[in-house]
Amino acid sequence: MEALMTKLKQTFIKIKPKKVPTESGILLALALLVITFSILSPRFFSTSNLSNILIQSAITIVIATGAAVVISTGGIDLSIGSVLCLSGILVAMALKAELPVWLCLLIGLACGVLIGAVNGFVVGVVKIAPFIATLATMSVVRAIAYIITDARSIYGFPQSFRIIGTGYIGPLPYAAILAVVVALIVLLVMTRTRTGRYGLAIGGNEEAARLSGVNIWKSKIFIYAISGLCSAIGALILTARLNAAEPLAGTGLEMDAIAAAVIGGTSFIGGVISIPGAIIGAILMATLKNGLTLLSVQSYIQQLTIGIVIVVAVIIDKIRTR
Amino acid sequence: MVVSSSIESKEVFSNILDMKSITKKYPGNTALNNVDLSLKSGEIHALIGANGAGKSTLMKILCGITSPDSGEIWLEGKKVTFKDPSSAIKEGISYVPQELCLVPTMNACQNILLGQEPLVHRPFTLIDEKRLIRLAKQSLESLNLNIDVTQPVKKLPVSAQQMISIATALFRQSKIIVLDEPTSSLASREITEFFKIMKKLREDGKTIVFITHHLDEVFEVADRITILRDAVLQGCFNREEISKEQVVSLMVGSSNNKLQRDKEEKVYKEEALRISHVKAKKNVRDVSLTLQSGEILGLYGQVGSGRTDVLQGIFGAEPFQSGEMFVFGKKVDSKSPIEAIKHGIGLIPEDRKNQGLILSMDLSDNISMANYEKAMRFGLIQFKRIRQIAETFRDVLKIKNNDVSVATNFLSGGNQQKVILAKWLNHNSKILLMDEPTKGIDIGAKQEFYQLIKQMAEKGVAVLLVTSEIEEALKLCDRVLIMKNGNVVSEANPFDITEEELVYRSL
Repeated sequence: MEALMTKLKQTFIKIKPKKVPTESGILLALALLVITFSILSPRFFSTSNLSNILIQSAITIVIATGAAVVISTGGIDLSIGSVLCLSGILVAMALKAELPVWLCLLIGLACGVLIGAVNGFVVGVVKIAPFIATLATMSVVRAIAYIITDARSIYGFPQSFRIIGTGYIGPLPYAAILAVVVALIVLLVMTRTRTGRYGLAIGGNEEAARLSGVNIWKSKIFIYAISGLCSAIGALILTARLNAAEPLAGTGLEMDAIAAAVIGGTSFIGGVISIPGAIIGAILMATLKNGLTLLSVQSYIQQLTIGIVIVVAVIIDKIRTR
Repeated sequence: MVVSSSIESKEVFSNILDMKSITKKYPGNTALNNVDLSLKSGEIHALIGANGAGKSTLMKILCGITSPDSGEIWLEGKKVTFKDPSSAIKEGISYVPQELCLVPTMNACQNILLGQEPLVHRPFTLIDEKRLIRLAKQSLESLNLNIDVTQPVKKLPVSAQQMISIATALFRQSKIIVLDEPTSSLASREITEFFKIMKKLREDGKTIVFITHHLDEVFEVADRITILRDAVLQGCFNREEISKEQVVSLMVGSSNNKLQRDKEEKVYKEEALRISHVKAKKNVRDVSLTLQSGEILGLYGQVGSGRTDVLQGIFGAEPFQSGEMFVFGKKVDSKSPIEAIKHGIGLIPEDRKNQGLILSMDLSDNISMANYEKAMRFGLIQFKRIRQIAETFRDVLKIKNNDVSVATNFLSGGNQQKVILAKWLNHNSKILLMDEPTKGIDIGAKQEFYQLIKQMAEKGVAVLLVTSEIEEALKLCDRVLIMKNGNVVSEANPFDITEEELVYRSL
């Protein structure tokens, strides 16, 4: 009898899988990359260049955060780039109309949240596949951007707005600080609020979540609204940095966002999110572009390298989770 | 000499198929133990047994879907081995599964000839649509069927889809057609039609294997009956040789004994749940039941009798179409799980991995899933608090895992079930609906789970337990309702009914 009990115990107590932070692998990859570039190019490891990388990664950090949120709940948001564009244009128009700067910012953010919520409604209530729903939004929103600007750029904004994209605290750009703060707030929302946890639960197993009393459509609207908000914040940084908003802005940025999120360990299977990973993923992509440019590698080779990095990251993730 | 030898060879070939000493083992479970099955040409052969008796495994082996650990298959006096379903099809054996396997967007003709489309080669290789339609229609006509062949099959009634599956088997020149629970989704008028077709196929010399839970049907159409119980062959009989009662007693196995169980007198204080004359889109025709606080009410029946659908309806996962529901005397309209949970109802679903747990999340999240409010401060979830909650339940329910931050994916079946139970206890659910809660759980863990259910009932929780295990129904429940064809057909007192009687009433 006792022998049986010990045997039962042995079968019941599963050995706890060792806990290694998910992000350690990609952090290591980033470190290796920095070291390699530092050796190959003397200009790489300088304060000005490193802060340059940070400013280049700021936008990707914010939008990758949004992408990570949506992907971890089992969805996808292809409208990130278009939403970023339209938000930027609305901010620019508001600034040109000489509204107070805070109101202009609010208009931009509201635009992002609203379009995101529409995405969430179409996915959660009308129940259209996220890929199709956000593909349609991507197209519609981009068209609106062209229509309201008459396909022209808007440029020249007050310094009080531009500082978002150009200001520094010491060597640290405001934009990067803003990006990381936003990412951390989203991290808090996803892990510490009920709605955030519900989102992850839906990504892990939608039916089980439903049978646990989770309101699926409300959660989805919330999730896509977060993604829209992230795009809008990205729009503020971009518009301020370029001192211009144009209907072409942000084309293809959704791919960068998705790539950074995936490199950072957010799984397309859903249920798993890593926002620190998305931050590092974004910095890694910026570092790669920056370093290769310093080494005078042609841009299409850069594209190729990023593609390879994505594939390798996903393969490593597959091996790690097996 | 010549005469006798021809008789001999007729003897040999009168069996079209012989499966000999088939054994199939799965880890921790023997699905088939030395089972024989013989089929004659032109007969309807019923294969019956309780859930898990091994019927499906035997048919899967016959159709090449799985291979046996040992044993032989002889087809028309020739030894055969089937590597895969297509080699069985080539030898003339077709399987019509319970969940029909058609391409819903294609029409009847395209489905019947799927993978065997006739081709024309001028000037390019293309599908010969005209011949395809002609060939498919021939198969359908041999069944005397008039089906609209231009419609995608998803727009046709289930009975027509079933006929299309059979027509597929005929087109492939099958000699043996295996029908797995073919009547489960048919209305009674359709069943009559279906039996006519089965008899016609028999006249055409086809051999039909018929798996079913319904004894009436067996005695209506079958020529011979093979009975399995717990992976072992109980015998093969001509229909005239055996009575329904004998069949049931072979299926159940035990003698006419009642279970040894002391009568417990429970005094109930309040009615927890009452549903009256509910009807659902699927499988629930007219069900009424009353459940008291502290009572364990069993809902026994065969798969497909509507038990699960009653639970799904009460929980609002698949709301009832009509009828009334009262929770603690108050009329309730259960339209979604969110509402049911608000009224203190919890569901332990049949498929714990796909419906019960979020496997990627840890114990503490799964346990708090229905009630994060309890662990929140300033709108934020307190990790420490949800850990404490999880640890409390881990200790009370004896979940064998020290660390509550391990993904539930890594738990054993029994422990996973306890996590789901903890989720509802954490929400203070007063009514628990359980759908086959001990399915796939080993014996030790099962007994432990029974104890937990009893303890909960003592504390006043009302339990509605769906089960197809006789022992569970008779040993655990205070009262058992027997379901059949979407209705509650009778009520049994578990202290005063034999196992056989219980099964007999459900068939």
